[in-house]
Amino acid sequence: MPTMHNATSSNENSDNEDNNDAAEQIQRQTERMFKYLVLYRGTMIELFQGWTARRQNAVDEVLNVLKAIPRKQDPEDTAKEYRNLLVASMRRLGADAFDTWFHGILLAQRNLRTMQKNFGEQAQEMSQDMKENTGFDFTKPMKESVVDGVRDVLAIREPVNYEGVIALDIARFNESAIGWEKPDGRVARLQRGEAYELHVQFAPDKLLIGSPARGVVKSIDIRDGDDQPKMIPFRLLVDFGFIELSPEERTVTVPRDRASTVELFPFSVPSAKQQSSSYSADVTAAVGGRLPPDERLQPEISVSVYQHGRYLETCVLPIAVPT
Amino acid sequence: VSAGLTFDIVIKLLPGEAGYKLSFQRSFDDRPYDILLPNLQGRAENLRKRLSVLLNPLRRHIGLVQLKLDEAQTKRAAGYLDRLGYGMLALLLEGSGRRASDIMPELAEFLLPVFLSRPGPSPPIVEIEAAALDALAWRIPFEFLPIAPLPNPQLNEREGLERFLGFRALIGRSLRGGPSELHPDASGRVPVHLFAHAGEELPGIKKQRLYLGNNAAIVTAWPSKTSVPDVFEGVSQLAERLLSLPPPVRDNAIRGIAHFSCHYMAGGPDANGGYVAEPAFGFGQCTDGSDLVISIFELRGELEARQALGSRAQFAALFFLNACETAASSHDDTLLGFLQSRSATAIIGSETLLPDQLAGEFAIEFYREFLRSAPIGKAVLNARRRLLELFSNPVGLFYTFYGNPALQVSRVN
Repeated sequence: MPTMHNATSSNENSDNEDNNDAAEQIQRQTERMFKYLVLYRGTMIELFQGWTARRQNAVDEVLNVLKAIPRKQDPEDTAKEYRNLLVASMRRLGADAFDTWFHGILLAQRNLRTMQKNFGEQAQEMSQDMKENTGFDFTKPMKESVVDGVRDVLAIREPVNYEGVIALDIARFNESAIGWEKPDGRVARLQRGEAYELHVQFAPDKLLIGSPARGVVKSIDIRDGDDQPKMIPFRLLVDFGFIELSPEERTVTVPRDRASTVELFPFSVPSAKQQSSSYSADVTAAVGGRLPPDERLQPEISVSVYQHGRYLETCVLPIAVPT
Repeated sequence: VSAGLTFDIVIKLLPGEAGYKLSFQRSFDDRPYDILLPNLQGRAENLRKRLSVLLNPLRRHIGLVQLKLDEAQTKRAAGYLDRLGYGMLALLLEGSGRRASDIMPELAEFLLPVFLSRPGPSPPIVEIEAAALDALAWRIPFEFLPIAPLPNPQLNEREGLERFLGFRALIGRSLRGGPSELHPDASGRVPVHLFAHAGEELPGIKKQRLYLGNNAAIVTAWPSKTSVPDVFEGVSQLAERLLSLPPPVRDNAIRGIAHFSCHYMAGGPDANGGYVAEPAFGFGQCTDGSDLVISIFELRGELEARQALGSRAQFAALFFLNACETAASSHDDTLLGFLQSRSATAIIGSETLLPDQLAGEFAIEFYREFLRSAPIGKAVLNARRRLLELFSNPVGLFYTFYGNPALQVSRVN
């Protein structure tokens, strides 16, 4: 397989890195906030129960969500549950719930030590304090980043237009060639126990189709969405075709007007498995002795392409593995 | 929280003096959406009995050979499913004074937050709850209701099928809790007892056999072309194989899969206006040239007779009945009822006739996930979705899972 070049300019790279950093920061802060919420769920319930807020329906909503989720062993799992319910809650009640949640959560975060120390006798006093301070002076960057983060979660994901292709190829690990067996349906012969790399690349036109060195090329066309973004988001789900290897997911953004960088998915072909002795005899008998001893269902590598949760296409790369 | 899972939506049928109350409950706020159904009892039973026939127009539309549906065919398939979902609800609502055309959008609106809060790879989990003595709720095929939100904007006709509940949620009909673990053998492979048609090699059946041979441990494969002299002996052999299924590891843990890929005829009216006297498996031919057709009645009798002689065995396996109409109940002697009476608590069956190749594709997509330790509810859902994604084909909805959706293959350390 020939080397594929990354055609993205250095300026664009720099912009993308900045955007990625900001997004990661928001993500980290949001996650931290939800973890906090999970850890102090009981305290939060008591706190909200004592809070006679102007937006009573929103407070009720928050309480419902807090009570609804049983605490799991793993705080991260519980945090995810909370986040999902929070999104639903906010969609239903709009800005009221949105404000209530974040005022409450951020206030509680800020007053963590006080709450832990004084909760009990001073609960009423704290509730009063919260009531009077709905316009609490949060640390501005934190508030803004959290709000942006949640807006991002809530945003309706419009499809982003793209007309191009996805190309798959395969190579030995850190090498370039695999040796396609072109007359036989472009099957790649792999060896058990050996390490390989799956190469995935997007390109904006059909130039790749028919290129003799390519493995498999398939069209990706999205036409009813947004034309503006220069970088197109995709999610790839790669199934290496062996039950022993878990499928791999990866989110990528590719330039609209030039070929993307090559995404590498390293994998090793599992070693040969022992077949139970009764199986061969039984199955051979079941088909009247016609089953060739080495008859196998050949695996295939598949890459499914999604955008914002929507399925777009599956690209299949047939492989052959000697038994 | 039930059987190791947190359910997002619980569907219940609550008996009362004025009939049944069908209740959809959102777990996160415990709010219910209730529908009073004064004449449900007989109607739900009849609906289930007729389901196989009601699915015929869609089944014929999908065809026997073709996997991929084009845009026009996909649009029409969605139309057939809409008719089925609305027709089913209208039938159940008769006498209530409410209309399906009002209820369906209300229900969709009520469930919308649950779907919005479960995007992408974490779909909502639905439990269809039934009391120990009243499994009526399990008999209603909620999978066919168009109550999930559509993608907006809709990019193609395939996305129009996303509104049916069976494509958007993990659905559990738990049988007494059902097992939650399936233990592999010492090498980490799942033991499979294969009951496959041994006559003319059908491509879908061959593909399933090869896939399981490559990715699981096939302990037994029955019948063989030379091992069954006649039907009488066939019934004995099948009973023997079923009785030799391994006992459970413990209450919630089973040891293997009983995979059927053969012919099956549910008793009662058939799709062509005829009548099938007895529900029966078709496994090919005996060595005497007769058809190896084993009726559930005979099998039931053989097992009971053996049990009277001292053999006792539970069917402690996941039963994947990948044959036509194996979940159908058009006859009083049903395969599902037979297996449940033998303590089988995890069953995948089909509601109507299945084309061989699609049955093969569904099984492989299912096992691709399940053998990698995905919970069975998710594996069934993803197999349905995968056939939709690859072929725009809604045939996955023809399969129903009974049991605990959290059942999964235990990992070997």
